[in-house]
Amino acid sequence: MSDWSGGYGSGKRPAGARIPVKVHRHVSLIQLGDPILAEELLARARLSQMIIGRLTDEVLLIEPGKAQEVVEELKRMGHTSNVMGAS
Amino acid sequence: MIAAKSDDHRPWLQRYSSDLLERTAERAARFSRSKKAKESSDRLVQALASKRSVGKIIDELDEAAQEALAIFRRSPLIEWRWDHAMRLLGACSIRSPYRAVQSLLTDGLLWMRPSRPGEELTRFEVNDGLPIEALPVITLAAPLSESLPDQASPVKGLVGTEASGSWRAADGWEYPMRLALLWRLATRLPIRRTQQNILFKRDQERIGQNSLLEAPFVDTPEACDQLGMLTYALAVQGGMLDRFCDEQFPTESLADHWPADRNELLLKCLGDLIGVENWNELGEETPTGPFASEMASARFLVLYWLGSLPPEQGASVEQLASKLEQCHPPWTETGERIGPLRQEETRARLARKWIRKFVFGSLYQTGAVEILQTGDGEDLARLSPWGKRFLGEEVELPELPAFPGTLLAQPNHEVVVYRQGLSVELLRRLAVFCEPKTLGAALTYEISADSVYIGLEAGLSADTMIETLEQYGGREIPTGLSTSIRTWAERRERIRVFPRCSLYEFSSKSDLDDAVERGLEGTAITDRILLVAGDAGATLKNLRITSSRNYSVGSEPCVNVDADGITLHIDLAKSDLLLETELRRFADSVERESGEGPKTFRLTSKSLGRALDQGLSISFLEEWFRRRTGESPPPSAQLLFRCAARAEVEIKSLVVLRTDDEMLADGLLQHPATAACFQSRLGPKALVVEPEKSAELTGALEALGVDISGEGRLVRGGLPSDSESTA
Repeated sequence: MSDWSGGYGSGKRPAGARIPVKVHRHVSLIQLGDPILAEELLARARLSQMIIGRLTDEVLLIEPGKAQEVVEELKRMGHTSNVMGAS
Repeated sequence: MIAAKSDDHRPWLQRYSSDLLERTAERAARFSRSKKAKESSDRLVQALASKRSVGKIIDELDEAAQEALAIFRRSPLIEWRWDHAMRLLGACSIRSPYRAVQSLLTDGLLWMRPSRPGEELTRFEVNDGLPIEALPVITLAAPLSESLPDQASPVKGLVGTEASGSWRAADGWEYPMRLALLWRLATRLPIRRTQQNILFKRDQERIGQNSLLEAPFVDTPEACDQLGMLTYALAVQGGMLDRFCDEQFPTESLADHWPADRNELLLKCLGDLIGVENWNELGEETPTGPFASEMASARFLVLYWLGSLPPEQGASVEQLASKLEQCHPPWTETGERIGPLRQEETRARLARKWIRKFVFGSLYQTGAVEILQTGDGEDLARLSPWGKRFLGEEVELPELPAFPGTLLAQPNHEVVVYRQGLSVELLRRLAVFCEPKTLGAALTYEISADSVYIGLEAGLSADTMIETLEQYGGREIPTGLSTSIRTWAERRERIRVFPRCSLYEFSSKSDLDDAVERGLEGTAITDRILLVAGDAGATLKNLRITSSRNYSVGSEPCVNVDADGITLHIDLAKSDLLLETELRRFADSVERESGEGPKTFRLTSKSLGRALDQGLSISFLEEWFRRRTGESPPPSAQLLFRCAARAEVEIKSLVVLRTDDEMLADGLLQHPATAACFQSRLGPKALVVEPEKSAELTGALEALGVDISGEGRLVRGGLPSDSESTA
């Protein structure tokens, strides 16, 4: 017998139903290739003031509006960064 | 202002009012036989493209207008500011230049554009006394470059000298090389101008004292002064720098600004040089403003005179200077005198000096003139094929010999480029990712981490850079160099900064995987969070957004505090990504019994101790509570804050005097006999006695008639022991 319930009542989302998601917009962050690099950046006092959180070992959240300052500080540290979607 | 002209008619005709455009089109199309287009601008362009129709219009013009047109047809590449055009026609002995130009504008043979952006042109009249910045610009109507019949030049009279020998011309690369360098400088740091429209001192030094920009030309019959400022003037004239407030930014890419063809680029440089106003050949010998402004028409006249010479002749400085003194108003008896041109002797000397500096200096570098150095001091100049092309002549330009392997990349990261094989494309590409070191007979560049980084920022990839070096070098570049370029490029990829992105937070990993399968593009940074570069938008078809947080507008209260004051519940609908990270810094996560319901955190002495060790302050925590819960921290949380901050308490024995009446305590504190005997007041009816003054207090109380009672009764000569006293 074919399944006509479409998944309702089974605790599963019916096939094709839209996926619930929470969207966080206008987020500024740094994605690093190495967790040790994150430690290095967080150890820099001036930079850590602009980092408001560590989402994962390799992702640091930047205080909104501070991305350009972070890039400048990275340059002063001798790091080159790939600024994604820079306008 | 004079600038290189666009062939597109729209920037011009769109500025005409509909009434003016209609009238001009009607007049221009009066002899046209072709089917009349509906749009006025199309009708005008159509009419001007017909040789027959244009010929008939010219036949109806008076002599002055015909001569004026013959002059403008020799400057097809440039636009003329009104005052420059009048000066030019006056110098060419055209009678009533104003009326002649009016007539050409009315017939549509010349086009006009207001100088102020957004302004509409409603008539062709130009009032006297308009400030320079309000003067309109005119140019030869674009279609006429194909349809104008031959007209004899109205300017005659330059007598040249017949000469044979080895004429030489510059390769024309000096200006493009220096402009590429200036573009690079401005890319790193915009050029700033003051409100008086002069360069900031910092930028004056950066440009005027740059050793590469100021380096003398390699092949230079006559040295030019202030080459840095000349390069800057050319950049401004040619539109390479866009002004925004007090800063000038370079065009995003030289490819957008420069024609790809070398000949076109050289012609553009020549057109720009003619119009340069904030630099002049005589430097500090003449005032820059008014004199430089007059020189646009003088430069064109010199080219024009050279163009009128027979092929076998050249002109000397003396011949050209004499002509300048006869015709060009600032030098003639009729023109308004400017600065040092007031004295006749100085004027004659400066005319010769200016001609020499212009023809054998700045003009020679464009490749527009050829010179013959005779050895007896009378050097001659004539137009090169490039110069003739600039004046609208159909001249076949010489084929440049191919020069493969023009570039040599060395293991020490230096790149040598031989000028013989230089191309616009190579110069443009090298300007992006190589640091120039010398600009001479051969150009040397250095490739460093910094220069590669700038190249990557400009959109080049490591492979493109290596390909460029190999393509123009004709062989593989040294392994060390290619490895360095790749390593520097990879290092950049280790840190990716997203100034503005969207994070999609799913309930589970399977939801995230499902969304990716359905086409949502991004990078998973956790099991549940997908990073999407840029703004959220296009690919939301398969998603149901439960909530959306905009991080650019700050946070809103999204934490509820339990009755105990130390348990914090997250409001998932309002919370943001930062919240949990913030909470983890000073609170511990609480396991949910059912696995459902809001996430919960709890403040503990340990968690707060950890936070303070990491550098958080109590004031930060208080501010966090106000921002995230909308209220000040509750007392139990305050208690934990202070405990964590190692708040100190003291336990000690005190002698306390208690009264039945609050007024009695007030009186004892105020009365001079007893006031000095107390340390402090514990409450309305309790005072702490100064230990050394207990006997004095007892005496004073007895004298006042106060009965003393109680366990800790005060005794003459001392206090009871600690065990007997009241704590």
